[in-house]
Amino acid sequence: MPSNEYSFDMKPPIAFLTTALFLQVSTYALGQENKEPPYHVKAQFAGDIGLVSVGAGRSFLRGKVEADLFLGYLPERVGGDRIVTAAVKATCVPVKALQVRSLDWQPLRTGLQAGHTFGREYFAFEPQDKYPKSYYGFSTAIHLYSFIGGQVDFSRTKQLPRVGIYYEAGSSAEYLISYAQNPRYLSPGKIFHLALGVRMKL
Amino acid sequence: MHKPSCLLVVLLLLLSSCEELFEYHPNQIRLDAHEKDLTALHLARISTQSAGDTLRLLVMGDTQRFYDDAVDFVAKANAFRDIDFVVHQGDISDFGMAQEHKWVQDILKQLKWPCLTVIGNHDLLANGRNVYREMYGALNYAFVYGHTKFVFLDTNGREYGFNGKVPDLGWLQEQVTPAPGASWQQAVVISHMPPFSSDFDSRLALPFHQALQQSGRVRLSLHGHDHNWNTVQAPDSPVTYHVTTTVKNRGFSFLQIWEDGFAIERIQF
Repeated sequence: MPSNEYSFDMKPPIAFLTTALFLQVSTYALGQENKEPPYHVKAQFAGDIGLVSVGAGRSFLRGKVEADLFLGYLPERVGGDRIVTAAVKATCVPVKALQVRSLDWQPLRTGLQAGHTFGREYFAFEPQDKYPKSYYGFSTAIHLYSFIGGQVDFSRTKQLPRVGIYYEAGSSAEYLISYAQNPRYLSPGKIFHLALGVRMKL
Repeated sequence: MHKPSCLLVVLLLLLSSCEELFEYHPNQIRLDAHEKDLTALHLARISTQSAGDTLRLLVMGDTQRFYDDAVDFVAKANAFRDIDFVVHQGDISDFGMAQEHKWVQDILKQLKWPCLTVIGNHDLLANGRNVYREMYGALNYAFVYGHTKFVFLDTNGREYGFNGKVPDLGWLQEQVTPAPGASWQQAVVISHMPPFSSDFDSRLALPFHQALQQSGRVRLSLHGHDHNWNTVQAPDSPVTYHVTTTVKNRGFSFLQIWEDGFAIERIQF
């Protein structure tokens, strides 16, 4: 039976705390270097945090780094189980955008994401009353995910000057480790998946 | 071609090779039709076979994250002749994710023989119980093949916080007690966690052993979990506990069962 109990009343997810701290520290440390407002919202399809997810975040270092906080939802009808996930996502944009007609194309965006899955059946840390110390040695609630992709911005268009669409190929840490240990059976095609999203500058 | 376009080409190549373009969550349970109800599927296959006087089984387990070794196991298993079925002793997955089961089944479907599974403690992680139910079926099940009844059950007590209910000894007793006129002469019990493991509910370890002993029909109890070989003959009892190593250690058991005895051979590959 798919579970439909979620314990939102548990201690605040680590992902949220980390992001809050990160955003706070970064704001003080780096100040606001960009003339444009650094805040944005995102909506994403797939990417290991739900069928759809919504996020909010800001950019730093003239847009070279983005930090986002996502909340994702996977309905049981699509996912076989109803799953709610919160995630902190850091994206690095090491290459300058290229102008392609009226579009700006960021050819390389890469980063890391830590997702926290809600629900009684998942543990962030192994419960001490259930397991001897480091029994499994991993978390079932927190999934790390790394990705590589790009983004197309409509900044120089009249219609959608604040909008960009991004794409990324990502894989969970569990899959990457499995691939490293099983290079014959597994392959990048087995462990990487596509995610698509829209970013809107505020 | 300049560098940025190369990046796009690499990404497109990667995505075009994707077996599933999108993944919504590592714990999603999205199964194809051929990945569902596998226990029933394989039992149906077994029911079309005729059991000989000596049953020939291959017993393996703990494939968790050892896909390359599992591929080699299949090659070795297919080199045997006239195997009735293969038993997977549990811990099919490492993280309890459906994708891991899908990969393992993708490998095991190359077996020439039917393959039955029992749930391991790793398979109960996260929403793994739902994965197991959808992909294989009941956690406890039994069937009769020739002169032997095979009883598969969940013995992963630690995953239930040692609640005194796992393994389900009432169900086990029922299964190993022959009804009048029962066609089977002996029962083989198959579970992941051996009763002498610290992960077995210690309060149920002795009652488990007694249930097998009192049945008078159980000579063999098969297990995995330990990632090592172990064969224990219980003192003053006809019950032998046999633990099969993991595919990672590149070993499995070749088991032959006849009406009043059995032989176990440890195979390395």
